[in-house]
This record gives sequence, structure tokens and C-alpha cells, in this order.
Amino acid sequence: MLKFILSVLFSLVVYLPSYSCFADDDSATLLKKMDELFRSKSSIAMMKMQIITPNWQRTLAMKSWTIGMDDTFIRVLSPRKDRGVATLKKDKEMWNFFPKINKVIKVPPSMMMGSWMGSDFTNDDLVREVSLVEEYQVSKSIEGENYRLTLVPKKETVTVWGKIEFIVNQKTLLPLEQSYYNEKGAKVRTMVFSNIRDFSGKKMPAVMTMMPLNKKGHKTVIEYVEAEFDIDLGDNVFTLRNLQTRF
Amino acid sequence: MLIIKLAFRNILRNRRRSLLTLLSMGGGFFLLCLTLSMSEGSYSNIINIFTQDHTGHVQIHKENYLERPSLYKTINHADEIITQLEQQTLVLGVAPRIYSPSLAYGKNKTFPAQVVGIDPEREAKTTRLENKVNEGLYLTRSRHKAGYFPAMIGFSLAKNLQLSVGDELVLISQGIDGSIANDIFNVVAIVGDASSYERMNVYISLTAIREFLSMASDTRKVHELALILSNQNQAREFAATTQSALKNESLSVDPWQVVESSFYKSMQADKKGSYVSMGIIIFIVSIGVLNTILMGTMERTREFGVLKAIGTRPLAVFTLIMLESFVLAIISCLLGLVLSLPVCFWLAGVGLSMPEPIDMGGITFDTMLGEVSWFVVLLPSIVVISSTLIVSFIPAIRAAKISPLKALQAV
Amino acid sequence: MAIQTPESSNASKLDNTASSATFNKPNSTYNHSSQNTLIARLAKRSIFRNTRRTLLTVLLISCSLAAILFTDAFVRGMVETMVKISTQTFLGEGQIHRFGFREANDIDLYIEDTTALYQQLNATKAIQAFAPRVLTGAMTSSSENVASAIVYGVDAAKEAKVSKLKLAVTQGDYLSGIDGEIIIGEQLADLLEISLGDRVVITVSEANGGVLSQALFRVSGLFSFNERSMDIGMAFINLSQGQQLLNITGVHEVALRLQHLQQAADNTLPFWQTLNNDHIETLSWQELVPQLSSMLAMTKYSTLIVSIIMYVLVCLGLINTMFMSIFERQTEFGILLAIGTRSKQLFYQIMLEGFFIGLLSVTVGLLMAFVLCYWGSIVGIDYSELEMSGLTLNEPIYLILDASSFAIMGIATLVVTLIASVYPAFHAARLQPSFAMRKTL
Repeated sequence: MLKFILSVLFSLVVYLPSYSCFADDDSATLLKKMDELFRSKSSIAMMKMQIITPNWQRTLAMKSWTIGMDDTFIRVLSPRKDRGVATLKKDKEMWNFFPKINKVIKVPPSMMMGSWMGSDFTNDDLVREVSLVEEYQVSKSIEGENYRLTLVPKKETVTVWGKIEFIVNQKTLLPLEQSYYNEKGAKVRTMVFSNIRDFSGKKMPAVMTMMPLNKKGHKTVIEYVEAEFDIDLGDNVFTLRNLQTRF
Repeated sequence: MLIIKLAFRNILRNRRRSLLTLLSMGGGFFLLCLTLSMSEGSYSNIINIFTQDHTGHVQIHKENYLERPSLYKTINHADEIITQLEQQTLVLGVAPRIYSPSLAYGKNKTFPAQVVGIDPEREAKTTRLENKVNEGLYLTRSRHKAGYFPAMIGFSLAKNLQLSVGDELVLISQGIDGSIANDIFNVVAIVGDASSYERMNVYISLTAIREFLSMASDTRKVHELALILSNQNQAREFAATTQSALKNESLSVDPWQVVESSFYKSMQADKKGSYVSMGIIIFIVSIGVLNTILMGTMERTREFGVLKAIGTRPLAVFTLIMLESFVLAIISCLLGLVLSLPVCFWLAGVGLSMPEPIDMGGITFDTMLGEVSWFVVLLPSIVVISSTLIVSFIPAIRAAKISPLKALQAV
Repeated sequence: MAIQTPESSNASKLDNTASSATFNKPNSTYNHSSQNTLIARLAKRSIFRNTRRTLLTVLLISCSLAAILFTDAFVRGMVETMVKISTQTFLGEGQIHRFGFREANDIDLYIEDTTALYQQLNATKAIQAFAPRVLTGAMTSSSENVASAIVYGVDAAKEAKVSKLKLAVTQGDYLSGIDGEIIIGEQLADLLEISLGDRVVITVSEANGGVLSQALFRVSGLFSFNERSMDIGMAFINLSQGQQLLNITGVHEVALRLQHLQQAADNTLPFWQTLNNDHIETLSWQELVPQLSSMLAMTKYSTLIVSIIMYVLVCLGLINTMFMSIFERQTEFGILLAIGTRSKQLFYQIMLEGFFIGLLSVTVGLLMAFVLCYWGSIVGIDYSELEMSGLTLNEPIYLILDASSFAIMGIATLVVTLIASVYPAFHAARLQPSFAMRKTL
């Protein structure tokens, strides 16, 4: 999920100049271009994640490295108790490292669908290669100042969602909201984008708030503190050994 | 009054007949009593053994915990409740527990394991966990020398992870504050066997699990309180009274019949089956009584003829016969009681050792115990007395109506 | 009536004159057999002298015998019903696994050469049907929630012949071999907040590697076994899709249905040997669920105790009767003894009386029992309000007649009758004639 957002934002930003020439482009092409641009890039980011539940609240500070959609490395910097906990995702496999017990553990299916670090994002969100244009049929409509992109999964797509919708601002071409619907048409979760800021020359929303609508009192807020794109990350980042490296 | 005297005199007059009658009815009573005692006893025994395994007689949870368990559904001032409960004489033991479904990690494989935080001393008084330690030593509250908490693991889990006493166990779960709970524990014991309840469980102390789950040493929160009472058949009543005593909580107090409902259902099914056998025994005892009384009264037809000839009213004859039978029934019940009570007590205390111990879900039964209760004594009495009365009815009426001439002519 | 004086040498002569019409024996022999026959006739006659009492006694013994046999048949029927419920619901009467699979349900340990195995199973007469299955722990997720469950991949047609899965479907349809079908327990559907037609994603880790694999399913049916652990923790998909998901070509388990339930216990049957080797192990239900056979052992044990108690009761009742009849005829015995009947003969006569009563009762009892049990085996006893773990007992319990039980119980009753007659006979034989002839009112 994180990755996807990053990629979408990034690709939108890059695509921005060229988009102005294609004011009436087909929505599928738009989505496709997002996917494609998305794949070839890399990023390093510092972010904060605030998790709110009816029983507890936490704020994590993390640093993340990504290449395309395949490789992700996230390391938790604070709070102190969880400092050093790291997650590595390569292709379809995922591992966690726990410094307290000094063990690298491959994530089994039972943990996959569980939430990542207690947030409203699942491990699965992180792992799955979401190529929206290949997996969804997209159509676009205009609502006031915004576009509404409606994505319906194709027949073979493995997903629980019946529909995903984006509300994208026509001028900035930045998403304002992403909603997930079940097949009966009920909205199950919503992501709201806000606080547009400049990151290394690119404008993108710094804050994403994920709210599950079927669980009251739950919310996860991700805030990007810093982000750099298209940097050469080297070969050592996405290795199991790196999980255990001192930093 | 005369009739009563007459009744007694008749009984005493013909000693051997009375004695035979008494023997037959008393014997029936004795056997019925024993059967009931064994039957009730073995059920009680099974229930006791089963509930003492890990369930307890009564359990307290936050309401709905049993259907949808959740880390956050805690009993919030368990320490007060424990103190209150321990003061009651019916309660023999209270065991608090905290549950955390976790992953146990070993040799590149993760296995799901249920981690249970227990109070080792209280647990030993409430369930048979301590007796199930196969290797190593039962849990204590202290920390291990290397600074790790001790843990007891189930047989199958130990096998799957290839761990034995002295090894390290890695557990991962989610803390109550959302953080990832991860810690290393020291294996001090292996409990149970391949088919017992705890085979995939890990037992650590309450202190240890609170630290593991970041519960900040809040000694008042637990998921479950398991209680053992002095007798399992008081479970329902006790649960109901305790539930109303805790009325302003959203807690649920359930007797074992609710907590282990499928076990209860199969016990009920089995019991119903044995009612059929019981019914048959009662039938046979009744026939024995029938046999005896019928023969006894019909033998005395001449005697009744004489009575009527000298002017006894029919009603009086009827009453006389019924009274005699009734008195005999009472005496035989008393006799049966005197004979059967010692045996029942012996059965309840020592029991019959079964030729082959039976294993049910990892729990072994090797003796069949009897039980002593009002039911075991009352039912046979009722059967003997009512069948006596019913059986005496017709001969009594016949005797009352018979013409003296015919009676005296009978053999 | 044959009269004998102990030291008489004229015995044979007297014997002859008294009963020449019926006997044709040489005069010189001290004829035991004729005496015995006479005693037998006497015994028979005495029994019917007091028909009422005899009838009552016969009633007691035969009813008891019938009751015991009825209970025996009932318990047998109940046991078989219980076993059938457990094995036919889902377990099967036997199961085949790869060696080592059962310890941790390791999905890597699957039976590889299934074609050869199936051929072997088809060729075995004792096996009526078999159902291959793959099984794995998995995560089931819907748009609302996530839950862990065990997912079974089954061959719809074969499964229906072995287990009650098809019958347990309460809504929607049973599996039909089309990809994407899944039937889940009603309680699992509740937990995931989904119903027929909704999307469900199953996530498993593949065998030999643990790479995650996911597939989309649509709820095609809901089932209920009336057993919480099954209704909340199981889901079924088609076998081929299950194999695809796990990336294996074999199966984890083959459940068997035998021709007769009893064959499960009979390990002399050849197929138990051939199907147990280094690679695969075949276990009967008794070995798979030992708790069940323990409960049954206990039931048999308690039936035994009940039978013993019944016999004791019968014994008591009989002794009672015999004594009554003796005391009634005390005068008669006194006279008999006074005119010279040997004690031994009296003893023998009473024993015979007991024997005849026994014989009569056993015959009547066996007949009654046969009628009752036969009726019971056709009609059955309805226990439908009862619920046991598994399905509700929606079939009545059919009694099972067992010839050996009839024979054993019948003979045992006769023996008990004889034993019960001993003391009364002994007592009668030792009566003092003068005492006995005192008449009481």
C-alpha cells in the first residue's frame, strides 16, 4: 500500500508536464503510464506513522527504501522499544527482523494478512504487486474540479475489493481520496490525501490517512517527512543481511 | 389402630414369609442403589477428571470472550474478584489466565502456538497442569539465570520445533499497545503428550506475559478466571449466583456445561442411553416385588376368608393388606439402605479398578467410582415402595371382596 | 409312584409291579433310569400343580432375560450409530497418509504416486469408496475481515461417497469441479461477514519453499456440521485447484469408506498390510480417534456390569420362588421322606423342578427377546432430540441382533436357575419328616 502510494504520487509528478498536452487522454492510458513510470524508479524516504485504535495509540518513525514494485526495505527508528525492527520484501516473499531477539523470520501466511506493525495496512498490502491497469478496468468521469477514476477488477484479478475509486484533482493531478468498496457497493476503507508539499522538487501529498469504515475508532496516518527519488541504492540494501546491519 | 397392630402381628407371625419378602425387595433395593451409584459416580468422575484437566468448574470472562476472543477483552479488576472468590468455602481454587495467540519460531519454521500466562501456584491448585509435566520442572515465578523467563511447552510443539528442556524458545505476537511482541524464553518443562489439550501451548508466568505483551505490570487485567468448586454439580448454581453478584460488570460467568458444551452434550447423550438400562433394571426389580407380594397375598387367601367370616369389613381387609405391604416395603428399604450405604461409600472412596484404563483426550480413567447422594438413595426407595403398593392393590381388593366360603375352600 | 426301601432286595419286583405298564425293564436290575424318569415326571407335575406361581416365576425370569437381550441389542445399535456418525460425517472409516504427515500436518509430505494408489484402492474389494484430499492452513480474507482456517481441496464426486459434506450444505450449492468454487462454514461466513456469491481470497504458502500463493474464490455454498470447530475453521475447494494453489501434484490424505464398519477393526484383512509400508500409512478410525473407541469400551464395560446385576436379581427372585414352593409343600415332603424317599432323590427332584422352570423361562424369554429386538431392528428407537458432537442423531437407533449374545445369555440364565435351585433343594432334602408334617394355617 505504502509503496503503491509512493509510486502513484511519484509517477503523477513526473508525468505532470507531459500531461498538460493530453488534456483528454483515455483514463486507461493514464493509469497505464502511472504503472509504467512507477516501475523503473527508486526512492528513499523518512516517514512517521501514527496508529490510532480504541485501545491504544502509537507513533512510529521509519525509513524506507524501494525499487520499483518488487523490493521494499523498511526500518523502524522509533519508539525505542521497536527501534531496529525491519521488514524486507523481495518479489513475493517477506521477512521481518527483530533486534531484541536477533532473529530473522520469514513471514508465513498467517502473519501476511495480519496488520503491519498494528496499523490498518496489511502485510499483504506491502507484498502484492499491484499493477492497477493490468488488474482493473478503469473509467473516468468529471465531478466539479475533480476526476473520479473508477476501477473495477478484471475477472482473473485476485482481490477482495469490488471497486476502487480515486478522486483526483484536475489541476494538480494529485489524488485527494482513494476508496475501497466491497462488491455490494459499500465503502469499506478510505484513504485521504492532504498537505501537499514539495519533496526534492516534486509536489505530492505528505499526509495519507487510512480509515477502515467497518471498524470504529481505527485510523492510521502516514506522514512523509523527507523523500528522495531515482537514486542509485546499490545492491546491498535488499538483502537478508541488511536486515541485521547496525545503523 | 387395631389394624396397625394386626398388620405388624401378621408380619411377625409368619417370619419366613416376611423374611423372604424383605430379602427379595431389599435385594432389589440394594442392587438398584448400587447401579445408580456406579452410574452417577462414573459420570461425576469423568466430569471431574475432564474439568480438572484445564477447564475448571466455572469460568469468568468478559462477556462474549468465548465466542470472539480478543486480546482487549479483559476482566479489569481480577485481583479483587479473586480475593472475593477465594474467601468462599465452595471455591477450592481460582486460576487467572492471559491468552495470546502467537507464533513460535524454531529451525526456520514458524508454528502457531497459544501462549498462556498463568499463576503457577494457583494453577496447580485448580487444574492438573503440574501433574502433566513430563520432563523438567514445573513453572516458578523467577527469572532464569540468563535473564530469560521460563516457559513450559506442549509435547507436540516441542516436537515440531525440536526443542527440549534447556533450549531457547522464540515467541512473536502482537502487544496490547500494538507493538510487535517478541522475546526469547527458556524451556524448563515439557507438558502433556501428543493428544492432550496443551500440546500446542506455551505456559509462562503472568508477569512474563504481561511484559511480553507490554501490559505494563497491570496486575488487575486477565482474560479468564477458572474456578474449581468442591463439587462439580454445584457449577450451574454457583455460576448463576456469582453472575448476579457481579451485576454491574459486563462479565460473563459460565459453568463448565456451557464452556465445554460439546463434551457436555456427549455426556448427556451417553446418560440418556444409560437411562434405558436403568429403566430395565427398575422393571426387573418391580417384577421381583410383584412376584413376591403376589405370591404372599395369594397364599393367604384362606386366612383372609377366616377374617371375613368373623366379620371384618372389606375395607378393613383391604387396608390391612396394603398396610402390611407398605410396612414391609419400608423395612426392606431400610434394610437395603443399611446394606448398600457402606458399599456405596466404599465405591465412592476406593472404587472398582478397571481392567484396562481408558484414555479420553489424553486423560486416563482407571477406576470406576460410585457416588453417594440423595438421588442414589431416594430413587430405589420410590421404586420399591411404589411398585409394592401398586402390586398389592389388586390382591388386596380381591381379598376384600372375596366371599368367605370361597376363600375357605381354596387351597 | 416308585417306592424304594433302602435295603430291599425286592426293589426290582416292587418296581415292576407298580409300573409295569410303562416300563419294560428286567426285574433284576436296580433301575436308575426309570427312577429318574419318574422323578422327572414328578418334577414336571409339581411345577404345574401351582400354575399361578410357576407362571409368575417364569414371567420373572423370561422378562429379565428378554430385558438383558434387549439392552444388549440396543447398546450394540447405539455403538454402531455413534461410530457411524463420527466416521461418516467427515473422518472416514480409515485414512491413508504419507508417512510422517500426521505429526504436524506438514504440507510438504504428500502422497506422490496417486495413480498407482488409486488403482490399488479400486481393486480392493473391502474398500467401498475413497476420497482424496489436500489440506493446508490458510488465511481467508474478505473485504471486511480476515480469519485463519483449514482449507481442504476435495474431489466433489468422490467426497460425497465417503463423507457427509454434500448433505451438510445448507445454502447454495455443493462443489461441482469448477474453479473458483468454495464452500465455507456458516460461522466462518459470519466472521468474515460474507454470504453467497461474495469474494474470498485464500492465501497459502506453497509446498517446498513457502512462496505465498493466493487465489480468488466466490462463496458458492455454506455448510453446517453443527460442530463449532468445523463450522468456523474449515473451507472446501475443488481438489485440482487446491493442488494448483499448493503447487503439488499429489494429495495429503485419502479417506476411506469400507463395505462394513466392522472391517475397520479387522486387521487380518490383506489390504491393511499392503497399504502400510515405508511411504504411506493406513489407519483405521480407532487409531485415528482413540477417544471414541475408549468411550465405546466404557459403554461395553458398563453393560457387562448391568448384566451381572440383572442376573443376581433373577437369582434372588428365583430362590424366593423356590423357597416359597418348598415351604408350601413342606407337609408333602415330610410325608415323602417319612415313607422312605431318599434325600438325594428329593434333592434331585427339586433341582429338576428348577431346571424345567429354567428351560421354560429361557424359551419364553428368548422368544420375547427375539420379537422385541426384531421389531427394534426394523423400526428403531428415535433419539432425535439428542445432539451429539457431529450431526444430530437424525436416524433412529436400530437394534442389532447378535446370535451369540442370545445363545450365551440363554445358557447363562439356565445355569443361574440351576444354581439358584441348589440351596432350596438342599434345604428340602435335609428336612426332618416330623417337623415338616406339622401343618400351619
